[in-house]
Amino acid sequence: MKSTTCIKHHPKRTLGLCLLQLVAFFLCLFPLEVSAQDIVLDLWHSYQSREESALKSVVRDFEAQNPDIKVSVLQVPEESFNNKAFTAIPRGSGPDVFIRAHDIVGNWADNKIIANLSDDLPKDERDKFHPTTIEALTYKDALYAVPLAYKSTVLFYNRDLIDDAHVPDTSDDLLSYIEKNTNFEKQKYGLVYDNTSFFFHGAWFNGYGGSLFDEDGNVHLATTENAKSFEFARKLSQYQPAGLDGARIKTLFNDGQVAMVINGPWFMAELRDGLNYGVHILPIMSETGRRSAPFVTAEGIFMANEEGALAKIESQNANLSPEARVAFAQKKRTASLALMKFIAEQGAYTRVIEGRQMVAFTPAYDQLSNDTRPEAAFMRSVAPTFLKQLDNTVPQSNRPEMGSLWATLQNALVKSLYGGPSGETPYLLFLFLSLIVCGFVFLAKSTNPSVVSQQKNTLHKVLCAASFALSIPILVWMSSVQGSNSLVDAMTALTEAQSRASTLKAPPAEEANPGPYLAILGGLLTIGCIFALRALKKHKAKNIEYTDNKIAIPFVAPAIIGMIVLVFLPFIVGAGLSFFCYQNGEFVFVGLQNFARLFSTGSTSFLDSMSFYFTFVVTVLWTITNVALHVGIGMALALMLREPWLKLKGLYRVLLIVPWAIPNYITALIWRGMFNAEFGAINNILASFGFDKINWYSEFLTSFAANLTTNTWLGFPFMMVVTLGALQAIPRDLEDAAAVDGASAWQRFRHVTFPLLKPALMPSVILGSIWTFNAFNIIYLVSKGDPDGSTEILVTEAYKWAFERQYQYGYAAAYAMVVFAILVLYSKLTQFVLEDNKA
Amino acid sequence: MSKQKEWVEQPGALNKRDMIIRQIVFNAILIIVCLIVLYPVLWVIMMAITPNEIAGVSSSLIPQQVTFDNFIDVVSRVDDYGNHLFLHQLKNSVLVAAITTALGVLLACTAAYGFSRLNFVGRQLGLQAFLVTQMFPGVVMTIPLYILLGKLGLLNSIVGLVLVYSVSALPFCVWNLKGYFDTIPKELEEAAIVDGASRIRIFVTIVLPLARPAIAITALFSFMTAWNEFILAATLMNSELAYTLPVALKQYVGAQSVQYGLFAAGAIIVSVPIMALFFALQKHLVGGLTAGGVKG
Repeated sequence: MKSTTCIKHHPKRTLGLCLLQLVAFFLCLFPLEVSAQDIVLDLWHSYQSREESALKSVVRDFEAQNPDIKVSVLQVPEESFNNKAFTAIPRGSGPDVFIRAHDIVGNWADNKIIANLSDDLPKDERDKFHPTTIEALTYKDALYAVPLAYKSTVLFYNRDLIDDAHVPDTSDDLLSYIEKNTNFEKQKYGLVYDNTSFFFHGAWFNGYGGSLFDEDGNVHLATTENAKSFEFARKLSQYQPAGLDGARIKTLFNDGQVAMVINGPWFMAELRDGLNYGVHILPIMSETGRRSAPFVTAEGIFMANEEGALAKIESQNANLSPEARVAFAQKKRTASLALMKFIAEQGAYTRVIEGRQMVAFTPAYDQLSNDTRPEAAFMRSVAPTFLKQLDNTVPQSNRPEMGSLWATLQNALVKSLYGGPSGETPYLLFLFLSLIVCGFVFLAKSTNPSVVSQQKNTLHKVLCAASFALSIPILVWMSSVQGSNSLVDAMTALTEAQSRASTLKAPPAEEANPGPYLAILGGLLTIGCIFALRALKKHKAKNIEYTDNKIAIPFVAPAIIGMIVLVFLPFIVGAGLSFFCYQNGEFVFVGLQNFARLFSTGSTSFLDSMSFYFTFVVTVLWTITNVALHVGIGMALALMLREPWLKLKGLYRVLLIVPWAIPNYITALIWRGMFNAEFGAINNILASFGFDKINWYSEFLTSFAANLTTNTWLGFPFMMVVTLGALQAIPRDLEDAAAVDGASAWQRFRHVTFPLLKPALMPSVILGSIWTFNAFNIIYLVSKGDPDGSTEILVTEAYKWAFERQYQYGYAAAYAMVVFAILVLYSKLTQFVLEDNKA
Repeated sequence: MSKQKEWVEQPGALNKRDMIIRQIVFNAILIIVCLIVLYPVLWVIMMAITPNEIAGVSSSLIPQQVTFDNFIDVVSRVDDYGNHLFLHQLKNSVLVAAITTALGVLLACTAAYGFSRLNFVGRQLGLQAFLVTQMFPGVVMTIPLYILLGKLGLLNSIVGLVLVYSVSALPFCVWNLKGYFDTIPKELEEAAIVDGASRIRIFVTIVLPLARPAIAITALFSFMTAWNEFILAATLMNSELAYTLPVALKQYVGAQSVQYGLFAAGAIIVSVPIMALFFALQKHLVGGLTAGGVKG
């Protein structure tokens, strides 16, 4: 304890100084007030590189022309944008205007997040924008944004590989060209596109006349046209590598390995300089005679709803009177509109040239012909194709249910292209899990020191071995039923998707009477109080005295208060939400309806990968396998690392904790790439040993294995370090004594080391399993739930319900409550078992 | 992984040949495991220094071209007003992580000492409650927390982030520290009490110096929580100058494409301080991590 002298000598002074510094820090960190009459507009967007810099230069032009208005531009990461804006705007801390694609319109309009702009953009002004973009941003006859740009796909082709005259204009020509020009061994492909994305599939979908809703506006997916489009996509998928994403497609095209790519205007910004390429309108479908019509995404600039705007003024300019607030809001609204129109109209040309955007403001393209800059020449060469394609597009529906419907359709598409979990999987999974659980229970029992009977012990050992042994053929069976037979017929996939869509849709909230619930809550509280009082009395009767009450306050109060305010309070509010339903921007009390919906699984089967029960089984399996591997590998390495004669011990230990030190959202992304079907490192290593390439994310077992590998890699160092620490406390002499008595290495571990290690490791194991149970990042970033949502665990499901399926907060909260209940039950159970073991 | 078989077959008879074989086997296993562990990390480095590289593509780890452009791009980002974004965000990250660590260690040490040594009403309940918080799924907390911080006027401020972070690392730290304090013999303190020293004095002069490994762990955990978190930071902070590094890193992940090179370069920059801290504290790591292992 040499270096602690400073603390030893001046404890109070140092502590006091620290506190003082902290307080000083906090005081200077509080945000400064903005004076009331400045107009500062917050603009949020998710643009990157070229588009971002174009937007910024347009905003600068606007500020130069309107010196009384300041615009503060914020780039929000794409992944966080929706959650952030959706949460912030109603609470007055969001943007005044923001740029987003049109798919949010229905949902955000219903939830009163965005302002209705129908009266602000008169007819003659609207006509200057491409009608498709206006249509896309209109919901229930009201316009919600000023259109900025549109994004639809076209055919990009490499002129070095295919000349202008030979670019196919019918689907038959396309197929025959691809057939002739694809060679997997040489890694040459005729056409590639992100075929597992429904957005890209749109061209074929609409080319076959596909539809999502019937005449009455109900979801209707199982149509022959839809199925035919799936079958066409399947034909194409035979000629392109599996598991392509945007970045890989870009590399293939840049390297001249692929002749044609279907992609959007953003692709132009990613292509290398000097690449000789052209763009062409997508082909006519030979079967129907229609031109294939991709979905178009219209990007618009939105304004926060009045209520949000007022809330914002209220929080920023608290000293204003209510009338002044309304007046100020009006002033801000006018300024916002001016900004929005400026970006959309005057800024359109800058966005075309600098941002390479396909803008919605059509007069902008007239300026192109007079511009002599090379950028203008470039845009002149591609813009007509994009405009021609725009006339052949279908705006993706902006109805609120679209978000979740989209994911469902995508799953159906993937299932019919690459297969999905087979029908037997849930049964086998359940069987497998029960055997594993049995195995572990018997294992625990057979290592339980309190069981004296030798016979019983042997029985437990046999049962344990039998359970584990039986689980292996089931695993083999499970992997054999998957394979290539799991390709799902297009019609079946669509029918399933349709039934799932009805489950996803939030049922209309029936307002419940909170009376009985409040009574029950009151009753529970009373019972709780009675119990607490009784416990207190018991303690008193036992003569347990709390001698340190007063001294304890300065020690524990700060931490406890912090926890209550920042952890328990939000949790209790969150728990309360599970009795509400979030609809049209308001919370409606629905009693236990969310729970009833959760446990009854709606119209889908119990075995469907969307059902709570299936996800629960997967989550338990996920937790058990992970913890077993973490502890197993961690312990094995720790036992090796403690050998005194081992050289380079320090180096190994340093290297082995590396996975723990790197933020896991980074490594998860790397592992996802390593498991890529065609280009991933894992498959390349497998291939070099002569194995077939595996499409990891297309089958349940392999996808689960990918998640498991990633999380094992991340998780074993913690267990290794904990074990190393625990081993330090175990004297070596005991083992040495056993060795002298002739005990084998295994016997020494089994009867000496392990029993001593177990109690020290138990808390970490429990904590580790709780963390794994809620390991959101890994599932969300590695398998993303593929195939067909089957590798999803309970927390990722809850997240999806909250933020990706029409903001069903209440239902998500119910999910989270169930997760919480399961974990509490689990920890109680382990506590019980532990105490039982001790006795 | 057949873990138990490998080591020591007959420790009684330790001759030289056995020893050499064991060295070879152990080292071989450990080298293989280290390679597996390092492979993805080398990938990140590859992506960062090669132009146009994509996550995990191909199995070769030898870069064809080497460039540091990605690092330069990440570090030299400037906003419209000439503010050096990277420096600001680095400053935010360092500030948030440092204050979180200070506050986290202060709160955790005092609370853990209370739970370990003092006999007060609700001690057991409090300990259980700390454990229970680990079971709260984060999904339900985000929105209530957002509303709460809004009411406290702590949105878009570093204070809000610091408070939430230091509290969220607290349960683990308290449990871990309490486990460690439990192992420190009470006799030391009892002697001091007899001499008339106050509890606080005992805590600072006797217990804290003895608990250094566990305090190091607490600091490491608090620092890591604050340094790596991005969901809350992205939700709460409303200006690019106020972002922390992980949020800035996420900006490279777009809707249609990921800028892998920049992301990897940023990832390395974000990871280096954490790694350095880990290596600096790794000696304490083994001794200080009890996770409440010893019951008190």
